[in-house]
Amino acid sequence: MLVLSRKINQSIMIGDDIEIMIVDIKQDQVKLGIVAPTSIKVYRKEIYDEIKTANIEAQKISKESLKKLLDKAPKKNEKDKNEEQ
Amino acid sequence: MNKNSTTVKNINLGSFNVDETQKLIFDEGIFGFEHIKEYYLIDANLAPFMLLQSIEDEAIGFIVCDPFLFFPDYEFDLSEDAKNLLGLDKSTDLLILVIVTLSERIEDVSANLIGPIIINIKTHKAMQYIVNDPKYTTKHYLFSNK
Repeated sequence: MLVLSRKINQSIMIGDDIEIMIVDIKQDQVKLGIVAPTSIKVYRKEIYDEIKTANIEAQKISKESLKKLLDKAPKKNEKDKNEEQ
Repeated sequence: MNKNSTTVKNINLGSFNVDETQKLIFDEGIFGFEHIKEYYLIDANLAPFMLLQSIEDEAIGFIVCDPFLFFPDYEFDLSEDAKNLLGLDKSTDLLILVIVTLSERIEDVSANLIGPIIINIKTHKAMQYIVNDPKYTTKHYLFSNK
């Protein structure tokens, strides 16, 4: 990891197209301004990590769990009323 | 044999015949699986759920569903950037699905509402979107009020 120190209003360039500026510093919080092309996605890391973890958990599809889910879930359409118990 | 049909396999659920209308292209993949760009959306007799299955890796598949079936008040703004990435020009071309995490305990089955899968049904482009609203998380329980 590259570690740099910046003061308020100073910036960092990443490649030619991405700029990160220190917009404000208050006690324990730093406000960052980010300029990047729309094709580059920018997220808070903990959100990225949370979604990644959830995706990895969701990848595990066990037949038993799936069967329990299908037994419990509502059918999408009400046409088959004679299947209701 | 229909030359447009293909077989896609899930390691737990078996093989399915699919056609190109079921293919979804994720230019950036989904978080944690960025290397997988092509999935097929398969009925698999799971209604109201579906299987989002990678054609490249039979171990990479997800159970997905229409979030509004369980969470009728679910709503979020879709950024202009996301709409452009999907080539979305009509809101009627937009399909939203969410990934479901299964569990042995039915009350622990949850849907990821902060990272929905958004799909342009005309272009078949899709992405995992991050909803910018702190009331949504990765775990919204389908069958309990936790």
